[in-house]
Formats: sequence, C-alpha cells, structure tokens
Amino acid sequence: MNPLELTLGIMTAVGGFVDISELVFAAKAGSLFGYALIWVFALSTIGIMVFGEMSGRVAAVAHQPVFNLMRHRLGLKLGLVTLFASVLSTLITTAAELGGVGLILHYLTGAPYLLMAVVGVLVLGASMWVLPFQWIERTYGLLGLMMIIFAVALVAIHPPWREVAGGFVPQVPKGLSTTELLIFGYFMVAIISAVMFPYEAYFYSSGGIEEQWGPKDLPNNRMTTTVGFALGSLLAVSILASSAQLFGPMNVGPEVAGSSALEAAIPFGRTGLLIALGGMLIAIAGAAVETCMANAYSVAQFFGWEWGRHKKPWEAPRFTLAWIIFFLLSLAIVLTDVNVMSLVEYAVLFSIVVLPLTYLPLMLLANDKKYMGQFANKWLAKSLGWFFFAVITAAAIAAIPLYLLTSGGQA
Amino acid sequence: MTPSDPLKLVAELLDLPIMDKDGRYCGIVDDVELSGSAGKETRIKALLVGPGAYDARLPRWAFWLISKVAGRRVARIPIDQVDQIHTVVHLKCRAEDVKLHQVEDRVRAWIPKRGAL
Amino acid sequence: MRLTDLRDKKVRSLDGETLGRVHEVHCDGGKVIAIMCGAGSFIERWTARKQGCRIPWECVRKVEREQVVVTPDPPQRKSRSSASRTRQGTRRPSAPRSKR
Repeated sequence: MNPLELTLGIMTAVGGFVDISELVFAAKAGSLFGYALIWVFALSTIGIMVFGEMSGRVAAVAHQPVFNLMRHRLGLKLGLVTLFASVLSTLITTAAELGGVGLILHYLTGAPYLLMAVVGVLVLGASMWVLPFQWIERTYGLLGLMMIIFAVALVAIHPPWREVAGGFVPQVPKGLSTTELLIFGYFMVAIISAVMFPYEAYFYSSGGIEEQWGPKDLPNNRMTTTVGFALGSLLAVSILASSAQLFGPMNVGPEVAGSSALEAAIPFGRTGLLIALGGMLIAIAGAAVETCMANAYSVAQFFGWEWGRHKKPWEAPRFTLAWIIFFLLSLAIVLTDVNVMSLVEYAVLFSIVVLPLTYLPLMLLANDKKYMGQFANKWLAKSLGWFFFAVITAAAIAAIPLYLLTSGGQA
Repeated sequence: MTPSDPLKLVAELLDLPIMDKDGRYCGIVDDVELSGSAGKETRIKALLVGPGAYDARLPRWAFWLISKVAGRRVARIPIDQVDQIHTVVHLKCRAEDVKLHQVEDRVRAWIPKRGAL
Repeated sequence: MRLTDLRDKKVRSLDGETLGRVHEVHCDGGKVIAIMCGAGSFIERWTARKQGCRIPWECVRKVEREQVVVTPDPPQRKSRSSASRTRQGTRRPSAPRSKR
C-alpha cells in the first residue's frame, strides 16, 4: 500500500462525498428534526461503504465494471430497462448538480443564474476534455476539502455534543403528528437515496478500471471506502448538526441550495461564507462531472463501446460523444428554469427506485466464486450486503407514496 | 476457457463484452450463430454483434425503436477468432478484421484530436 | 440457427407434454450437447445456478418458431443439481407434473 496514494485516495473520497442532494437534505433535516436524522446518515454511509467496497473489489478482481456485469446477469431486456431507468435518474441528478453550480456562481458573481449554468457546463466540459481521469478525480476531490469549513464551523458554534452524539442512535422523535411522522419517513428515504446514489457504484467501479486496479489494490479500496466515506459523511452530519443548532430554533427552513453556506458565515463571517461557497461549488461541480461520466460509462459499457478518460477523447469517440450529450441534455433541463430544489427532489426519488436493480447484480456477482475466486464475499460482506439490500428495497417501495403523501416533504 | 471447453451459452457467453487482440472493447455478444439442425450435430459457428441481433430478444416495438436509432447492422465473428472466454471474450484478431469498430471510426471523425493531456 | 431460436422457447415432448422453457444450452468441444429446460430461469441466471431438466441434443426433434419438440423418453434425462433431484427425482415423462 503506497501511503501517498492511499492518503490521496482517502482525501479525494472525503472531498468528493457531499453533493447537492446531501447538502440540501442535511440542512433541511437538521432544521426540521434537530439531530434525530443523524443515524440515517450514519446507516446509509455504512451501506455505501459496503457496496462501494464491493464494486471496487469486483473491478479489481474481475477487471470488469458494474454495468458490463449487470448486462450479463440481467440479460438484454431487463438490462435495457435498468439502463434507461438509471440513465434517467442520473441525468436528473446531473441537472440538479449543474443547477447548483449555476446558483453558487450566481451568489459569488451576481451574474444571472442561467448564464452561470452555461458557463459552468463549459468549464466542466473543458476540464473533462483536457484532464485525464486521475486528475479529474483528484482535482475536484482535493479542492472539495474546503468543505471541511462546515466541520470547523460546527465546532465553533459549540453545539450540545451529547445531543449530537445521541443523534447517532436510531430513533424516531416522540410526539410527532401523523403528517410529521410521514415527513420524517420521507426524509429517511431521501437521505438513504442521496448517500447511496446508484452513480456512486458505477463511477467508483469504472474508476477502478480506469486506474487499472488489481488484487494488490484491495487494501487501498477498503481504506478509501471505509475511512474516506466515513470522514466525508461527517461533513454531511456537520451540515445537519449546524442546521439543527442555527436554523431549527428560529424555525428557518433552508429553502435555497445556498442556505447551508450561512452555517459557516455565522461563526466566521465573510471569510467563512466564501470558503463554504467555494467548497460547495467544487463539491457540486465534482458531482456534476461524476454523474455525467457515470452515465457515459453505463451506456458505453452496456453496448460494449470503448470507454474511459484514461484514453484520449478521440480514442473512445462514442464514450466522448455520450458524456457531451449528457451534459447538454442536463443543461437543457436546467435552462427550462425548473427550481433546483425540485430537481434535487426528483433526482433523489428516481434514484431510490433504481437502487435495488443496481445493487442486486453487484451483490450476486461479488458472491460468485467463479468470477471472484478467493476474493468473493465472506460472511460479513454477505450479511451486510443483504441487510442493506433489504433496506434500500423497503425505501424504494416507500419512496413514491411518501413523496405524494407529504408533497415532497412540504406538507 | 476456450470455445472448445465445456460452455454454457447463456450463462457463460451471451451478453459478455468482447475485446480484440489489442485490448480494445468492440461490442457485446448479442447472439450466437449455430450450424446444424435439431437433433443433428450442431456447432457454434459465430458470435453475432450489433443491434440487428436484438430482433429475437426484444418485443417488436422495442426493436423497431432501437433500429431507428442504431440501425440493424450485425457483425459476425467466426468462432475460430475467439481466443479465451472469461468475464470478457478475447479475440485473436483486431476489431477491424471482423468489421467491428466501424461506427466507432465514423464517430471518431467528428471528435477533434487536440487539447487533451 | 441462433441461440435465441432456442432460448426461452417452450419445450414439448412429441406426445404434447410441456416440460418447461429452454434456459440454457450446453456445449462441449464447440458442439451443442444438451439443452436445459425448466422453471425459474430468471432467478437462476442471476444466481448462475442452474436447475431443471437436461435434454441431450440428440433428443431434440424439431425447433419451431414458438417451441422445441423433443422425444418423449429422452435417454440420460436427469436433473442437474441435487436440489432439483429432490424436487423432480427421476420422474417419467408420462407422470403428471405441475406446470411452470
């Protein structure tokens, strides 16, 4: 294990963990329910650790990314349905991220939001064209470490640490009305979806192939998915806890994507605000790049095209065309001027429905000794994998009814 | 394993990605052509690759839609060009030798060859 | 003939009995040696565990558009896995069986 590579991998995972849906739902969850939803973030993080580690292991041992193997397991018909559903949900997610980029550039520059969304797409597209894979991942991941300002801000506002720690214990707050209970349930489902987005598995496993992982990289994979995701999740928890401390008591609902930045502005003033906005911009921009690439990976792998940013754009022409088209389609969605918060809701809703179809083939493959040999799932990965599969299936079934009953958490 | 080893065509061959001898991805095994007839000696003749091979695998309306977008081409890879089969089908030849990569080459003409590190 | 001409087609014996659907084709030495038919192919593909009825290729009489016709008493017909052995045993094709 190369310590430098490992450190860079962990730091990239930390800086790249939070995206716009986690930002939005963490802030809202804190303002509505205090610290009571922290445990859902913790639980979902363990879930993404389990499946992330599995997808990295499959990439390193079978040398095949998730979507290639999904097509083989699901066959053409069900595979096409899964491809369509996951591309649609990831496209909406990309649009939400691009909308977030446009909003934050608007806050920073005062220029019109839609113009900034176009500028954002051009800059992100240029970075994807010019930079090879590792530079893309490291640049956005490491610059995204500015998000640490949220953890520092939480410490600075002296929250009731006992109550924060208590939030890690699974609970449902007492005394909630039926409507509030339904909203609590909706937030549980939304947080699970936001943390365990399907694109995470596609991007992570494809990234493992891009970086030519082998069995020798398995310890690295394990450390990155456990330590990196855990620390990244703590940033999301910091946003929730700060929101609980600052917004909740004032009955302030963070209804715009940039509200979270105030959590750093309150203790640190203008400097904190700028660092927070900068961190959010990079984290969301990185997520926009990841989601766009995840879609291009999915399509290219499903149809057996050349793919990857370890190749020059003209060496994988259909893959290149795919990510350009996905960026343009996402921009088109943003240019309809649909509310960014609505996009985030739809992204989360569509994704949770697709999650079981994404993770089941991965589980079955990681269990298969024929492909994985001695690196097939042992009892811990199997037990945790099936447990979390049950959790996401339950969440997928409950998602749409809860969304409708609570009007997307607004009721 | 090789094509002459014991092989399950659905579980171990169908829908596997294909890589040519230069390590380039060049499609998915969309169908398998067999020579022979019912009850008589029947051999694996070729792998079929391309949207034209979806006709027997999709409902009619879905195949019509896909063929409008992607066409109906089918490339044929003679089985003697298959080297190894595992999580990927490895070929003995280059993609161009079996008429794969034609669309990739056509799209390449549209992609500027500059600017990338 | 293509693999998809066989796969998912109903398998009937010459005396009209339905034996299941083709969910696997076995080859050895590049030659087709048997087809597997039975229920539950969807989950079986996902788990890559095959159960069901193995019919030697020599016993396949006709491959039609919607079905594959086999001889009613194919020699060496046996279940693939121990699980299906306890379920199906060495039943004779004339014995009543549950439909898929």
